[in-house]
Amino acid sequence: MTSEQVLIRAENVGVTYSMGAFWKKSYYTPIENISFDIISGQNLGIIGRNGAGKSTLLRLLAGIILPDEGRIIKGPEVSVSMLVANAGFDPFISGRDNIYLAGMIFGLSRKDIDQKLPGIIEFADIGDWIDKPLRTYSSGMMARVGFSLSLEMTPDVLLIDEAMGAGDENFRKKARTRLLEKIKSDQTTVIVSHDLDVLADLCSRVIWIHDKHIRMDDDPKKVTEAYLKTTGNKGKKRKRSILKED
Amino acid sequence: MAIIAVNTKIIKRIILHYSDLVYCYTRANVRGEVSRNFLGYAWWSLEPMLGMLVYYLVFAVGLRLGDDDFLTFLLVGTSFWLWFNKTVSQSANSITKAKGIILSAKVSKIVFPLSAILHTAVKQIVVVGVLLVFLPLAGIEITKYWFILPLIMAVQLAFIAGVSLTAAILVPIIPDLSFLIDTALRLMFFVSGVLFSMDRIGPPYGMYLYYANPMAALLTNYRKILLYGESPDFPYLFGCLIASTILCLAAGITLRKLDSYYPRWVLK
Repeated sequence: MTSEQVLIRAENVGVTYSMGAFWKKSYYTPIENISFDIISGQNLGIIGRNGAGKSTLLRLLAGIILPDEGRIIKGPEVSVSMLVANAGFDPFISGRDNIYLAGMIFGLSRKDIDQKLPGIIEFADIGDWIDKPLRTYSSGMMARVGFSLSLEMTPDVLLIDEAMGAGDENFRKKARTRLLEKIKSDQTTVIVSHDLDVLADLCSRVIWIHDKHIRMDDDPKKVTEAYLKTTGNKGKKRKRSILKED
Repeated sequence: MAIIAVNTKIIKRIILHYSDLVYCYTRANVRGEVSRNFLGYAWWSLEPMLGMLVYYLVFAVGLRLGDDDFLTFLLVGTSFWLWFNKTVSQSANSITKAKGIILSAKVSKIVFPLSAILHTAVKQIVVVGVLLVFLPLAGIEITKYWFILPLIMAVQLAFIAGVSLTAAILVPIIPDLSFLIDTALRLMFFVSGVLFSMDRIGPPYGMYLYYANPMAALLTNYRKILLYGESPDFPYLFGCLIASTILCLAAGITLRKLDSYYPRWVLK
């Protein structure tokens, strides 16, 4: 593997959602004619206003939806998965069963999970609760289980939507350390964030999506400066960024 | 050749992964369902019995309909009708219910209806176990025809799977259908002969309903082998099996073709 290898290529990609029944149909196009490459080992940041199509872009890269225009080119052997704090979680089953379920949905085999389970449970650190149904958990405990599983995933391309909760302060610190370790290693990552400092710190390249198109695709410094000029603020966040150092 | 070899290997791995996933999803759902109630697994057999009790009280005790065998007649009817009813309504909403999963990972949508089908099939085994103990206690003679039971159940499973997969495909596309499915199931209940024998409906309609509605034919045949010691209608069962298998295959192919559209439909 050379370091410059393209893992995923987006070519003139556009997505249009149709909404409503057929007699009152409306259309919504979050992104249009977007092209970029995801290069092995690189951390790519994506920035844009709310509703700019960042989540749509992540879903395209993960193969969850297909583009209406253009194409996503990806080898069948390239694995992509999204880091989410609580996907696939069923409130009526135990934390342990949920780990199996979510892990398999993210593409791990049952054997893989058998192997990783002790590590995941130890990192989540919620004691006997792991065998109780999820509906009895606090939201912090739920995030602990979800995050601990997510950190065990090693796809070729890791997609991170940064607006996610990660439980109490103690766990947040622990999770951040692990996540940063992961991002700073050879792991190829795509990070969606509102936080310019985080992107400038972690990414080697940032894409700015504005009005359906790519406004800029460049060095993080240049992009964040230009972004600041138009928006006039650093992107106020309601939630604290999991990636941000205190 | 090499490409074909790689492809079959990948396909094998994918099939193994998904059957494992269906198994885990089902196991988790079964455990979840059981942990929700105090009586847990006991409900699997209590539920059809209670259903039967309601009909018995209303029709036999209240309205004085039915003959002496009405209790066993009803028990066979409700036990196998509920299997169909539950699976179809569970599968119909299975994809929409898994919205959170569907929007965060690439996963074959067929996993969700298949898991619903497996879930109710496992429960049905328990129901049938209880039924087979109860019938001799109620004075029904065990005959050699009882051994045909797994065969009719296999036909019913294929029919249930075909209808359930079709419902699972359609409901996320047209959510309004979930109401229509409820109504259709209620109507079908009355024309499937759960409460009365199909020959109570005068000719020729009884015959039409028998042939057009596989549930009516299946219930009639269950009663033939379990209660009356008669041979079942093999040609019909065979035809039903073939038609159901074709329906299953068509639904499976359709679901695969539409797989990547479902995240958009559940987003609506």
